[in-house]
Amino acid sequence: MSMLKHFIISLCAVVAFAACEVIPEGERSEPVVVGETRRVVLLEEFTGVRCTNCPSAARIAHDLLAEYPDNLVVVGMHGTNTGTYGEPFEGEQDFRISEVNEYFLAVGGTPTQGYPCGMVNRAVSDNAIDPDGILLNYDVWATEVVRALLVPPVADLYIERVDDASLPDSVVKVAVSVESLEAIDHQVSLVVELVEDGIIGSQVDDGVTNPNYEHNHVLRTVVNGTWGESVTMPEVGQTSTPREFEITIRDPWVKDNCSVVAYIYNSETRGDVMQAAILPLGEASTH
Amino acid sequence: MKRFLTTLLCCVLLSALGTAQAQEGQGVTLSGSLQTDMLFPEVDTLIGTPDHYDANFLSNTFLDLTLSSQYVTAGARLELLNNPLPGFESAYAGAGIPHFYVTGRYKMVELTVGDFYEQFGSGFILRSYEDRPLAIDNALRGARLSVNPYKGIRIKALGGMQRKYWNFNSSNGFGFDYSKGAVMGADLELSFEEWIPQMMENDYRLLFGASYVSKYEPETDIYFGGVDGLQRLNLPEFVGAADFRINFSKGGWNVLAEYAYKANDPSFDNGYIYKPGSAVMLSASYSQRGMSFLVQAKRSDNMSFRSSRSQSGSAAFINNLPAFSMTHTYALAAMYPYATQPDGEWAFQAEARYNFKRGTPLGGKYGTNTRITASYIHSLDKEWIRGVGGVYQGTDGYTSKFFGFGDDMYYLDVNVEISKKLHRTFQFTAMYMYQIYNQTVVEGHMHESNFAGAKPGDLVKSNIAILELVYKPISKVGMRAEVQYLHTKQDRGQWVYALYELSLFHDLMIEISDMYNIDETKQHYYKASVAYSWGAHRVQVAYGRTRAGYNCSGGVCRYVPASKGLTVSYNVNF
Repeated sequence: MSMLKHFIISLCAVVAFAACEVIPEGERSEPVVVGETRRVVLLEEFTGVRCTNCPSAARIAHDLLAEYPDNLVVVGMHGTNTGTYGEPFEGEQDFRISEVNEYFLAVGGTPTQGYPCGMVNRAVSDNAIDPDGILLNYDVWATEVVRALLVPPVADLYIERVDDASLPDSVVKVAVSVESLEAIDHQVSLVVELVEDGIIGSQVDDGVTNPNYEHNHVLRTVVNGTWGESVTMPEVGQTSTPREFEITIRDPWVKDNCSVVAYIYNSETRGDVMQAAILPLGEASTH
Repeated sequence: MKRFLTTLLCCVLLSALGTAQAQEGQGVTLSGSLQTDMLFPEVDTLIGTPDHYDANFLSNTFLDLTLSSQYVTAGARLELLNNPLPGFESAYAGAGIPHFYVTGRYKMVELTVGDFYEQFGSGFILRSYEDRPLAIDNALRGARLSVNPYKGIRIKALGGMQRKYWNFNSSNGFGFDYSKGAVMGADLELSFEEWIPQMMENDYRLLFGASYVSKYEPETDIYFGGVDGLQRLNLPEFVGAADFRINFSKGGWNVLAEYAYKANDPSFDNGYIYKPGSAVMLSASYSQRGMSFLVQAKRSDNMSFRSSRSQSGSAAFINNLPAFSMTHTYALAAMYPYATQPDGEWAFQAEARYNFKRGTPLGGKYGTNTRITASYIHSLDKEWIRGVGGVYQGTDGYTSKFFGFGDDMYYLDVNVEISKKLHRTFQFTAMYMYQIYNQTVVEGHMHESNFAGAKPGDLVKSNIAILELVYKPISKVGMRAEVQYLHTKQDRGQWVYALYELSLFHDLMIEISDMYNIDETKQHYYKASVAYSWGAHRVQVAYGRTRAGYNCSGGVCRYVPASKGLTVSYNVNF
């Protein structure tokens, strides 16, 4: 019986040790303030028109854009990597492009990976779906964006519209330049993309198909190749000679709804986006 | 491939040694098992395989070894999963010895140190287990103490870190990475019939059980946006859960009532709300020779309980909610398997079996077995609450009336089965099933059907007919054939399936099968296999196509992508 008493006491000790923490209402959250910064973070979401939870993720991205309009670039990527998430609805546009499949595979995406998922600056995170991976569930996008914003940029990017009367209306020309803010000791690559907002089409949203859903930040094309091109970073405090890119606006894209996105990343890790920029085609420059 | 074959050869030699060692009367015995499944994949884009594979050879191999003596048992498992079979999450790949333990027992006490599996009650608050086809292994690494201090009293206390794929690396070789959380728990079971002789004499049994589990996970930064700006959540580091159960039985009757409660546990699964979770289950059954029935009901609400709050997929679950849908073995009946929804559901299940005795009009010469089963699962009625910034995160999420049903049916399954022997050499089984399966809820998306007469929708409604024939002319030769038909106007439409199996001399089995989609893809999923058993060994070689779909067991499912190629499986127990 003495042994029984000892064991019951031990059991109670285990239970007492195994505490439970209840957070009362009013104490469950606190506001966060991120100071002024030149950092522009890139949030890329893998999404699909038949992905029922993707609109929830898109709303989180939208909230973040509202919070940090000058410090966040969002790109919505539609690929064919996971089953039927991206299958277009009959008679509607197919948003899928092959470059997205390459990005997905490069960050460890598999056919069983559920959508939505995303990447913030294509950086490795302890919040990733796989340990020390890159792909993130959308519940941690805000966390990762804030973390990235708190890190000062090592470089900056500028995009300018270039007026060229010789080009047809369907072609736009932009010039992209980079500025070194700190010394950089690795190879750097530049990617230029075109995204489009305001595309009305069908989307499955929490089990219901909405035929009038507004698709935003849809990645239409990667202008200079899937993985971009190598750039030589200038001396600290200097800005590089601008590189020009001609972008053809193809049917049914709407030029006024399009924006040019540019970002630079670490070529050696094929990730770790250092800075991003976005220029709506209705504006002249990101300066 | 060369390294794999060398390792496999060592495993086979070890198993041979173990077979020689495993003799009764020895002080220490070595036992174990070796299981290896190999695939040589081929590209077949017509059925949706990837357009390339990174490796020419994929395999899952497991070697379990156990040393047993009167007072001590020790075991370890070697896993070779460098290039796992298709469909497993990328973090599943790896190789090493992720499971080892030592158990000592003396009189009323048993202590296990290392990796172990455990379940409290029905698993509402704790179930760590291994299910290889589903890639589930949520073993706890730590210690477990079991004490039977007196007859009818069983006490357990445990604590440890939960396995999540290969979270043991060079900086964390023993897996004790506290930054990833810990699980602690205790369980008490009292069997009253052990103390009250009159109960035992009259075949009454009464069990009372109580359990408590707590998980610890350090707080992390989780932010959410809203109209009031960015907010950071104040997350609980300790989350506790309790379970109470009563099980009463008398003769063929058995009644189980169980209730579980989980305190606030904001996580990715529930959208970071602070609502407590609960589960309640009531089950009654009766069985006697020739007949049995079962009815049960369960309501679970916000009972996803993981050791990692940001985890998705099938990893890091501390608990397991019992499945209330039947696990079907016939191919077309298993085409739309239901996965238990962790955010909540009402579930009902009933089953009745009856054997018409031989010599009766419906029993005939050899008797007739009948079975009727039904499952019905529905969403909960939820009224959502908006909090800071107009979002749900940080609030209690929703209110839910206990008996309230939501708008969505999740699953319905009614099936009738008859098995009858017509001759000493011949018997048949016939089954009809009506099924409704909410594809959007279970799979996350609805397939937009593309065939004449299609009526696409979230609910896939199917009528399924199955006929199985077994013919055994002599004791060493047996034949089995199946014909199955599935009719639906949703998803990919109608399917038909046929199988023929020949078994010879109890050791050799040859099988061919084909599954064909009539309406949309019009693809054949053929397969041929040969299996041979000798003693404790079994080897199977197969070639063919595998359809993309879901592999489910106990309400937990894993997506399996389409594949084609040669598969070789070998297993041995020693």
